[in-house]
Amino acid sequence: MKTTTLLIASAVSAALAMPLVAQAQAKTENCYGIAKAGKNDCKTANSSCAGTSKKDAQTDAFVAVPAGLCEKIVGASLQPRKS
Amino acid sequence: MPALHEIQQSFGRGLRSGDFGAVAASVTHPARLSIYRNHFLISLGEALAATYPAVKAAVGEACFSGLARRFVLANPPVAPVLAEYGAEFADFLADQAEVAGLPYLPDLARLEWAMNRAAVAADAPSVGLPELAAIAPERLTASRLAQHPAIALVDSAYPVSALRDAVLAGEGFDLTGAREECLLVYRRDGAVALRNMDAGGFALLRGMFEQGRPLGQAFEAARLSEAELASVLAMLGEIGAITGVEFDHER
Amino acid sequence: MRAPLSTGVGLRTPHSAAFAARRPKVGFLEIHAENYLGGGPARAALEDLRRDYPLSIHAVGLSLGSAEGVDADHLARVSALVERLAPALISDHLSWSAVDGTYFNDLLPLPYTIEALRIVAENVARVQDRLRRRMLIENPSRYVGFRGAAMSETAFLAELVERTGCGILLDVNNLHVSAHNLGGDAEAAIADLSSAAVGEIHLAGHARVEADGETILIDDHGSAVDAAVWRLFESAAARFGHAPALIEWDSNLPSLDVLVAEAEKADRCRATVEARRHRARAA
Repeated sequence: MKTTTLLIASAVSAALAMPLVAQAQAKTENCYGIAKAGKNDCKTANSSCAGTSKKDAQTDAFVAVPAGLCEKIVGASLQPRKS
Repeated sequence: MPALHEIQQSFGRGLRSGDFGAVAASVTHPARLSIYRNHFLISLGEALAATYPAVKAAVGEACFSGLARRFVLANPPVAPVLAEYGAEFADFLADQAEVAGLPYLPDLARLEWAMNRAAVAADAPSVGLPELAAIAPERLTASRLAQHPAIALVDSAYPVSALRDAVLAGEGFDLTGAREECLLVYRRDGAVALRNMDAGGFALLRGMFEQGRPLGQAFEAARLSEAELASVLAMLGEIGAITGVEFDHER
Repeated sequence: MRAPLSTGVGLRTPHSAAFAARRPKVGFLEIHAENYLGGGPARAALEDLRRDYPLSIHAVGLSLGSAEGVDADHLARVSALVERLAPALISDHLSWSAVDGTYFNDLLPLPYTIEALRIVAENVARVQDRLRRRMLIENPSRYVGFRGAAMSETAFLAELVERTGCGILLDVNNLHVSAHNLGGDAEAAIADLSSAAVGEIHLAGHARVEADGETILIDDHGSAVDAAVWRLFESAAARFGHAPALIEWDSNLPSLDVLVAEAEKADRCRATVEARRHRARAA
């Protein structure tokens, strides 16, 4: 039986001889390319002024029930995630 | 007037709690302090929405903005670069009662974080297979291969990349009987790329890159065949995933 | 590299591809340092554009007004970027953003006191020493002032220039927004500033918001430059004829054509001011 060292050495040699395929098998996401907006800026968010007089500390903890596409995401078991 | 550090500490507490305390008495228009607080919460919520668009689409605008606000208050940024803000969002989501019925949500967030990081991670020159082949086999086996900063490993009990596609396209998804997924996230030719891995290859990468094991140990633990190792190495070489070979000091 | 006189625009990544394809004529490009501290495609696009345009690096996160001092890690990263890109101009704001380990992502107001002046001067000196460059400090938009301030914003900036050798980035929109919100005379501020100190002029749009029975101007960078701000710009251009101007637009981002047209409008405005000055001299 080959030792780990020998297996690795011959795997590296074999890898060198393999054709390039990784990129063809991958899915690329161009939306993460140059058009992805930078997140730092020096403006003030326009809606920052809304309700300046209202005490809104009690809304800090409020989270609305999910109402997006998750209603159409079905079949998830509620088992805790593996790993 | 109080000392500047005192003013800034009190201002900071006000931004986090809504109660500006002593600062309110020091400024000309105390009611307008809420503009600063709103900007703090809104602008960082927008940064999170830009990093986590699929999570936002899944839970909807109103739910997301509440989650983001709660997250920002619990985990405000510690440094200025917003592209690096929000790493803890996936773990945070796993603890929120309002989204406990969406068990795939933390994994969706993990994938989005990995893709966000891959887009902005530092550039680094790669080490190619010929350079690995030139290293004496014993030394290579004992070495640790350093990963490119854009590389990330994401696994999920759900087919999380297909789920992400569906959600971003505005569609639903059926997870019934769906299989787990192991993903390699990397950057190539100016774009972020995802590659499905089988469990063995994924275990090898995890051992090498996340656990920092020497190549030989990671290979043994992943129980790969020689041919499987060869194809993983060929793929890593092609995508420029390896940026260094580190040797332990001679003992 | 000397800064050019024709008007520049803030480079926002959604415009990167259009810039690369069409290379419109603008005087220079300004980036936010914090958006380019990593690598990847946005950084590569910038490296390409900098071959055709002078650059200005506008930092938003150095928190020069922090009593706790400037963050060493962040300064090191900004410094590496400055070294790599060799920009014509470098700037950040007269404000603070961080305290007790939290970064608030905002340009928070400072009380214009003797103590604050000492702290900002120390921080600016530290940054300039590290960058081995003169930097420009920008007047921020303010929504509150501090009771018991020892001096005006222009006096504070003048003293800061005196102590550190820094220059001033005069944002005429911020000047207008703060003067409206806090009561003040923007024209008088322009007249007070030392001509030699002003090294760049910013122009941007703001929003008018009605809240609690008053009108507040919000510096949202979300529209064309307001008529009142163009009038202030005429005064600024007449006094600071050597300082390049820049259009900032961050929310409701327009097409690149609209952005470039706004820069051209600033150039025409300067040409008019210059012609008027020549006529006055001739008469």
